[in-house]
Amino acid sequence: MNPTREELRQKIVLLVADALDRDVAQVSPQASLIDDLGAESIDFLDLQFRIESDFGFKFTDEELWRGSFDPTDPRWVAGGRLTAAAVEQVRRRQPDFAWERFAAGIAVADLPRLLTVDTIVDHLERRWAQDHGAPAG
Amino acid sequence: MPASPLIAPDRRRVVVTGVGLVTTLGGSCEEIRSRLAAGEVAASRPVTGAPGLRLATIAGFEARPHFRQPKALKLTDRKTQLAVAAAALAVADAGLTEEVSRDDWAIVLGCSASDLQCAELARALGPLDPAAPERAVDDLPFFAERLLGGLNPLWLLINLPNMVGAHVGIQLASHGPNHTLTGDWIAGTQALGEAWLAIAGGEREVALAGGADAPLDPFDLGALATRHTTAGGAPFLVAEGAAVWVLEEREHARQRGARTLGEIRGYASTAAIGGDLSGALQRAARGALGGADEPWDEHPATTRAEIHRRLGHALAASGPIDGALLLAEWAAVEGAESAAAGLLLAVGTLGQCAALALAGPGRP
Repeated sequence: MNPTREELRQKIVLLVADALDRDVAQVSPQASLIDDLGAESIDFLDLQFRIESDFGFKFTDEELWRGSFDPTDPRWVAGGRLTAAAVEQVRRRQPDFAWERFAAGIAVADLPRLLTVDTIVDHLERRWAQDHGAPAG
Repeated sequence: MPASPLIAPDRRRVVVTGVGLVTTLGGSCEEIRSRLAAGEVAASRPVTGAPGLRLATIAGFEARPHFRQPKALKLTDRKTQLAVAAAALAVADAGLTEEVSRDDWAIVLGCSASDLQCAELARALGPLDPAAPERAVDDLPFFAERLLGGLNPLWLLINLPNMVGAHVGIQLASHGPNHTLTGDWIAGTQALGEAWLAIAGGEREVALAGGADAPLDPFDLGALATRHTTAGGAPFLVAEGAAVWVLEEREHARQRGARTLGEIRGYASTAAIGGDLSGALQRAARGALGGADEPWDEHPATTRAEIHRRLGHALAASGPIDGALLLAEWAAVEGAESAAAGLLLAVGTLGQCAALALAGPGRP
């Protein structure tokens, strides 16, 4: 049976809390794993492994933070920074994110800072649809 | 007998100013000594398939309170957690507050080799086809998929051999030289000796040194079971624990008003080439006492007969933390007023030997 989005979210909250040594209550779906929860590069390796083990498929760490956004597409990136159209897209995708941190714009190198529980859930839903031919939930 | 060539004539004095103990028999020199004196033995459980071999673990040990960054717990195995705890306790015992710069502290710790996280390895390997071992050697994609693919990427970081010292340094925010010695059963004694050399030679003012181990996994137990069998199957208790000491240059300790538990006066390490274990022990003892400027030929511990007499005890007591624990015992026995000299001998399973010359705090 397809997992619902809420089921996926609850699962990822637990994985993130465990990997980052946080209380579950601290892991809000829109919290930045890096800026709010203190994730470091090594934690992403750990998280990726935990998610792969739990969900039974492999993915790259770039897939995890990139989501539906392609940073190699010139429509979205200019001079190492996201274009206005790209910023609008990511803001629309994460409406509850603390965007005031990026008042001066978003560099490609900042993209991992956008990773949240919900962006991971987004990725899992895409993978579920890709692997099973139907959206999760 | 000339002094050990490792020891410069103008070496500095090195005192012990703090201790951190995490053991199956308690957390202080006094408690360990009184429980040993009462004939108490740590609570233990048998090892399946190894009659006579028993394991003792530290009940209720909690590593988290000793970690400045608790997230690092997932990167540590049991012996590293014990080492971090003992180091934190030693620093507190020495009165080394945050105001004392930690930038240049040397950290030298001994342990046995990595335990490789057997349960994790077993999960990752899973059922292998008969050809798998051969393919894993020369077929890299197969190796990556079948072996590494199922292994948490943190596994390597947990099992790197230098992680014991590294995590102590990280948690104490100490940025000086950092070494983990894996000289097996004499590693703790060697660590104390190497730290002594760093201070006596003028390189450092403060060092944390000692040993930590938790030889409770199948790799360690397999080796111990073999040793136990070849030794005649006498009852053999394997315990985990850690002992870390704060060593300081004497003037540095005086200037900050530190309490002095004792002094390390000399150190030497040797190997039993050709199987002459008593000779190796004798050379180690002479080297350490030479460094302490003791009249070695008058010291009863350096005669071959005395070495033989002590050998049984040394072998029985050996382990990666042996030196540090026996130093604890020595400190408790000698007490604060004693100026008596002592000699600590440690013997490894492959004939490695190490010796430390010790003195009480009242010695001129």
